[in-house]
Amino acid sequence: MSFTGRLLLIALICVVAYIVVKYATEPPSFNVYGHYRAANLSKQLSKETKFIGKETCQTCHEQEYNDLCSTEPSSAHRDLQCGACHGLGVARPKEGVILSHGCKIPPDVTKQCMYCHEMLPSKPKDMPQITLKGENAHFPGMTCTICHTNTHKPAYYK
Amino acid sequence: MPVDLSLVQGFIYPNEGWLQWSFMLVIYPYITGLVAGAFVVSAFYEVFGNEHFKPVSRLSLLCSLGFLIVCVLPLEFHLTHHLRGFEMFSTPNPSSAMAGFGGVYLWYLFILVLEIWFNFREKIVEGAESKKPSLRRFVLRILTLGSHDVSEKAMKGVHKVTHTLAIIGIPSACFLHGYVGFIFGSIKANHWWASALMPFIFLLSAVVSGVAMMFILYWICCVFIKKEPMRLGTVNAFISLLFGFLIVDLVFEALEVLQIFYAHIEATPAVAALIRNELMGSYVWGQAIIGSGVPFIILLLLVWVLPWSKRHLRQGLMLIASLFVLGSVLLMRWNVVIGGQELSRSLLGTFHFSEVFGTHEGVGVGICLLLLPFILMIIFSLFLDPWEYEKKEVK
Ligand code: HEC
Ligand code: HEC
Ligand code: HEC
Ligand code: HEC
Repeated sequence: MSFTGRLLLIALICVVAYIVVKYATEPPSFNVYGHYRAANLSKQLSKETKFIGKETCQTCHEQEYNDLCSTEPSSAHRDLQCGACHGLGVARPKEGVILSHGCKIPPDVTKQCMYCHEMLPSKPKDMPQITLKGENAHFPGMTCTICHTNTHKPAYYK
Repeated sequence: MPVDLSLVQGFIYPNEGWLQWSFMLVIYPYITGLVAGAFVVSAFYEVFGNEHFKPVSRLSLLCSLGFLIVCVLPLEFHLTHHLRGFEMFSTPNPSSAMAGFGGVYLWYLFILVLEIWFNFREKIVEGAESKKPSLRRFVLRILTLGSHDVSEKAMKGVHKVTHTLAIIGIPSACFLHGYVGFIFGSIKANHWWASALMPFIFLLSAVVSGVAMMFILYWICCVFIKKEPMRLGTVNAFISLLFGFLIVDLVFEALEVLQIFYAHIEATPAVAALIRNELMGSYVWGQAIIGSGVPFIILLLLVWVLPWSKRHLRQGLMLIASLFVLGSVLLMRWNVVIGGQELSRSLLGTFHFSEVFGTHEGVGVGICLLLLPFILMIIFSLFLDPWEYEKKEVK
């Protein structure tokens, strides 16, 4: 057999090997609904969803939790999750125990407050909004916490 | 993963607090680019018959193969389930641009291996027939496929095939790297990427980096390995090739930024902020001013002011220019891959990416992967001996 003939033989062997490997390794439920393993759907559905809410933080930060959620008198921020300001900073909780937590005090408090309180016409009317520019500016240039000393319980409802 | 708020400027969405693609995805287009660039250098001799590139022609082929083998490794390292990388081939997905790279890659690998095989056919047979038993002889004997026929008639066919493969190889190599640019350029949601010029700037910078690398390798071979003077003709050919491609590359890079600023008008302030906050060092200073400006001025000097200068001066300056070009192209990959992810989809903020060294996706592994192709190339050249070589005319 000539050189090129042998080359073609090798190419043929490669193609056959590919087809064999492809069909041998393809998962059984592949391509039932689409380009994925159908069996994976039930596997994902069976997973438990975990949300690390403020009740988890309460176990260690009783004081902040009580401030944030106080009802008598009521805290304005009582509906917020801790993660809204501190970042969803809980990495891989195992059996409810937090092994490491990356929650941080926001580096720029004023900026953090303004993410939510910046005046925007599209926001609901009952959301307290302020602006730091123009005529009705709300004490621009000052850190919010100078006056709203407890950010967890910034003001009271009547 | 906790989001480090000190790295955030403005507003980002919660899932943008860490980068999915890090250093591995930076060197992946860099390495693919060098594959294409090296092949183009060899094509200048193999296809267009430019004698000046003869000393590096075969070396470029081996270099291209070394880089091609390594170019999928960054992707493998990036995966958390490494073996799943092969599912790209076992379950090919026709609707995924990313998975399509598997096909493009295989095609080019096929062409390149065949091209090298035919191109080195004489060397392979010569080595296989050597009297002394050695590992080299053993491997080369396998590569002959048991046929030692190098008669004139047989070789005529081989040369024809070599020439045809080299011609097919040019569009294949260009497509390989243009494809990488296409993957980035077609992500419409990302304003720093979505540009039809992306394949062009990827391809052109690939050729530029390939030419620069081949010049550096040629320099190393002459000065340290073969201990012979570089040929002035080859040095000059490299200078004009690099200068020509660099000009076109820079023009397209500038056009691309212009196009993004003008066509994505809603994103202009965000992109400007991205450049100002995150990419000032790596893009404005690194890639544009130092990385492209310095070699451009050097090449301009060589071509315009000092065309009469001596070989030593020319090769020294060209070496500096090549090193700068290689750095600038690496920075270009960084700015595209990392920069695009640092820009928040909200267009209201940026996230600063800080590089890590130690992990399986870190800079440490990256540097090893960048060195690996050269080691492969050295091994290939020990077996295949790419030095003395004369292309046979195809009639
Ligand atoms: C297992 C106990 C534990 C839990 C649960 C916990 N923390 Fe902490 N947290 C700590 C400890 C300990 C510190 C460190 C105190 C120090 O450094 O003074 C801390 C510090 C902090 C700080 C201040 C960080 C700084 O930069 O000074 C913040 C903010 C915080 N936690 C928020 C949270 C939030 C939000 C949660 C819920 C997601 C939470 N923590 C849950 C134990 C806990
Ligand atoms: C409205 C945003 C906001 C929410 C919601 C919030 N915090 Fe804070 N938290 C802050 C700010 C701002 C500070 C820093 C206060 C300062 O600088 O005076 C802070 C400080 C802290 C500290 C550090 C206190 C210290 O003195 O070192 C802890 C601990 C803490 N918060 C825990 C919590 C926990 C637990 C929750 C949820 C129950 C929570 N925070 C919810 C904004 C918030
Ligand atoms: C995650 C979004 C969010 C952040 C961040 C936030 N707030 Fe609020 N804040 C709210 C919401 C929502 C309300 C209104 C609650 C309601 O009316 O039920 C509110 C209410 C208030 C009020 C009470 C207004 C009133 O009419 O009683 C004050 C004061 C206030 N915030 C100050 C701050 C300060 C200071 C900060 C920065 C530390 C801050 N907020 C950060 C969401 C936020
Ligand atoms: C000089 C003290 C001071 C500073 C600094 C300050 N505030 Fe206030 N803030 C007040 C007072 C007093 C009120 C209540 C006045 C009112 O109801 O009109 C108030 C009210 C508010 C309200 C409720 C507005 C409403 O319409 O119900 C919000 C929200 C608020 N502040 C947020 C902030 C934020 C965010 C900052 C930081 C950028 C800040 N404040 C800085 C004193 C201050």
